[in-house]
Amino acid sequence: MFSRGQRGELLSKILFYGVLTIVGLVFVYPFIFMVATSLKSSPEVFKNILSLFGERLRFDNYATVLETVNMGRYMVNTTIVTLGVVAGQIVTSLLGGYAFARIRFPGRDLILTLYLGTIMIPFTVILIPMYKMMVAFGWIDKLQSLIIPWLFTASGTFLMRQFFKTIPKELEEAAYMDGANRFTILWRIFVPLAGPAIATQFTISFLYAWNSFIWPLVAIQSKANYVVTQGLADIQGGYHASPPLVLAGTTLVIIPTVLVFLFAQKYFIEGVATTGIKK
Amino acid sequence: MSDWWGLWGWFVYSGGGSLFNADRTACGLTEPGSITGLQFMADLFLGPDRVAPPPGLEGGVGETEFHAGTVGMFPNGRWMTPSDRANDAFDWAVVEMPKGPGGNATWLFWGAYVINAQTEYPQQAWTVLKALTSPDVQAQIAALGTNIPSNKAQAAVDAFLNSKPPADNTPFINGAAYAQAEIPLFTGNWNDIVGGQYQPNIDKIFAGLATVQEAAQAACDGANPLFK
Amino acid sequence: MLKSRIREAISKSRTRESIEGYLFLLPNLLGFLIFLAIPLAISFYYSFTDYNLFTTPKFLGLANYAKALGVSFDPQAYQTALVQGKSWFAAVGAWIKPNDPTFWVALRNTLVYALGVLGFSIIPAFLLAWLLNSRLRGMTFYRALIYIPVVASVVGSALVWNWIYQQQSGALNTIISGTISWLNKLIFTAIGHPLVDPYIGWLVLPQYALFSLILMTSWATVGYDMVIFLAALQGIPVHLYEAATVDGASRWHILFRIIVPLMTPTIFFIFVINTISSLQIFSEPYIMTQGGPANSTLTIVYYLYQKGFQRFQMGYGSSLAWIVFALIFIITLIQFRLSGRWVYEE
Repeated sequence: MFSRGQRGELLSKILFYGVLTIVGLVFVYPFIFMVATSLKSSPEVFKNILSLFGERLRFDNYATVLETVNMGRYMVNTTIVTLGVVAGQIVTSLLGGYAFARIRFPGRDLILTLYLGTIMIPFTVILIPMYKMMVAFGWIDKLQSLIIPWLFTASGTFLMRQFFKTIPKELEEAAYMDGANRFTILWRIFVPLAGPAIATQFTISFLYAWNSFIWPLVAIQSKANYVVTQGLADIQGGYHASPPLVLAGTTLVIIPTVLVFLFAQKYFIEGVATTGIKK
Repeated sequence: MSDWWGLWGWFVYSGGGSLFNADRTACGLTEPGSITGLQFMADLFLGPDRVAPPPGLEGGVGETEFHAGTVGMFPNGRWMTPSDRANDAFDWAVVEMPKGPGGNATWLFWGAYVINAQTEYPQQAWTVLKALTSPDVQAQIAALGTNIPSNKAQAAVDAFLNSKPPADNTPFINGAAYAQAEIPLFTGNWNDIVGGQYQPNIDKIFAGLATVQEAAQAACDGANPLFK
Repeated sequence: MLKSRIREAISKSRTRESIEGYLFLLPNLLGFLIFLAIPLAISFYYSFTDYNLFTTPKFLGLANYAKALGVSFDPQAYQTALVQGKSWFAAVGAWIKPNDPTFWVALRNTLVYALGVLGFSIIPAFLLAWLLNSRLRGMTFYRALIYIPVVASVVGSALVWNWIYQQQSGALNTIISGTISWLNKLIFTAIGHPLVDPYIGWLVLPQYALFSLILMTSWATVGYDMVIFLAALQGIPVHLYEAATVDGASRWHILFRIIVPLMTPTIFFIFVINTISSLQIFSEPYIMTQGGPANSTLTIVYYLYQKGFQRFQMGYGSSLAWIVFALIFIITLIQFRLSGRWVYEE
């Protein structure tokens, strides 16, 4: 049937895919476990935590989490915050990236270096004064405290700059000769070309805003304004002995990020690989 | 959550000891009664008979195991009732904590209704407070399962006693007679002393990394300077 | 005449360009100033005061830093320890009395955490990148699977892992028990040496808790490292190892003598990035262990949070934050210095 060489090649292919599949399963197993548990009842979980299915799929766990624990409200809050942060970060990084890539002004390289250096500053250093500042602005316990301070991103600005640098100058020179101003050039020429960079930044900003925890924990106090990560901590506090409820809440929080990642992964992974942006 | 002194604190009091000295100005864990209680606890968890499962997450001991049907009882508070009703497919009941050498012991957990002295709406706040503590509302709160009513009116007590399961709610009311109130310290910060010094050392007992005497001594050495 | 006009025109357009540059940068500059530079300055000031949120801060000089970093010495304790027959190492431990012992516990935990995550993520990530750097179909799919833990919320993942690590009925111990009883049935009982179920308290025993958190954080880091490695691998010119293959070099030779040296800049980059993020770990211990048991998972940032936001010692909390910053800065600097020795540059 097969020659010896062919058979060897087939075997090594099977081995190769086998290893990758096992490793892949190890990495996603916690999520399979999460979804499976979220659809069981507590006694079913305690009877056999590894089983994938209980007697039936209990979607009512999700109803409980959305209504009784108010996760629905938290998801709306988080969506508002995330959309605000994503839109803001994309706009400011487009503007800043363009300035660093195309406009000559004194101190440009120094400012860029300093700006990039801020990535090294741990957020915790400014946690206490930021809290104080939100109190002074009257933003404490309001969603704007989760949006306005986070509209700016050094890494995103750098990402856009790197991308704009690859765009040939000839494209904008003609428009410039015709008297177009820089803003028009950015909007009409650069932005349409920047799809992949914007998709990358969208994903990074989305993950950043949706998953943030320590800042909401400090800035938001009343449950009406909680974001999802706080909601999860809350479920854990009240229902820690009910794994289906805890993990139904967790599934609601994790699934949107996984979907955004899967949709944008082609650009996103490339963006991460070329700029090294972590979160 | 997992830093929960409620559990081991119960052993301390039922052993005849106390978390503090009489006027709450120094650590009481090294007193003989406290040591007796802690030692009794350590033997339950680590002794040759090992009758208790190791303490779990969330500071509860045996809670998960109880739901899983592998241990017969676990200590916790009234506030667990709604969650237990949701979790357990079997019948369960509540009893008072067993008597130790120091007699009966339990914790009195309480939440106070307060009105801010500087409120702009004292009259309205008073109306809310009266409504909250009325027999009627207390009965409704009691029926939810979490709280013991703060109003002794028969309607509230009846609602509490009839909020089932458990079939018999009287152990909760009996406990009030001898409960240790969880109250702030007069001369120090509860979090710094109990959370910061006692708890990490008690953890070492459970982990088998320190004897009861060693842990109690270390806890008191760390805590005593924090009483002002 | 003409020349000076041209010069004037150029300088006008230069000025205009500069203004435009700053205008485009304005949102970023303002945001940076208001929400980073000013809070940084305030935090630096607080770190020298007894600020507690409620009263006016009083200037303390270096007292907060002395409280965190300072030690005193107790020669008596050193002697006593030696007399008691303790080891010299233990005696030195008794001799040094830190002003805030909990800070040093948190510092040690944080450093172990950072090192652990480096070790447990970089090596698997490199091997996976090496595997996935293949022209076979489906590589994007596997890459996505391994990357998902990176994008998932840390709080969410921590709650999932709580139930994986749970001692009595958690997934991991159930798998271990099942495997052991299967092996015993299969062979070990027959030969008279049945294996004992270790029944590990992953999160409830101080001996294991930090390791368990390291394992979980590594799981959520491998995907990131792998993607960076993969990009670097794909950037290595094919002719470099084709030549070696022609020369008859073995796979291992190619890996360790050609690929790894070419990848050292990437490895270095991952070292730096992962150290910076590991030193700031907070959510994992906050959700899973609250720093316990026995302070075994208390990290510096969690300690800072306890001090600043649970006990309102915001002055002391600020000084802890600057110590974290200094630590990150120093470690990054050391890594850069050392990189000269082992990082390959063209």
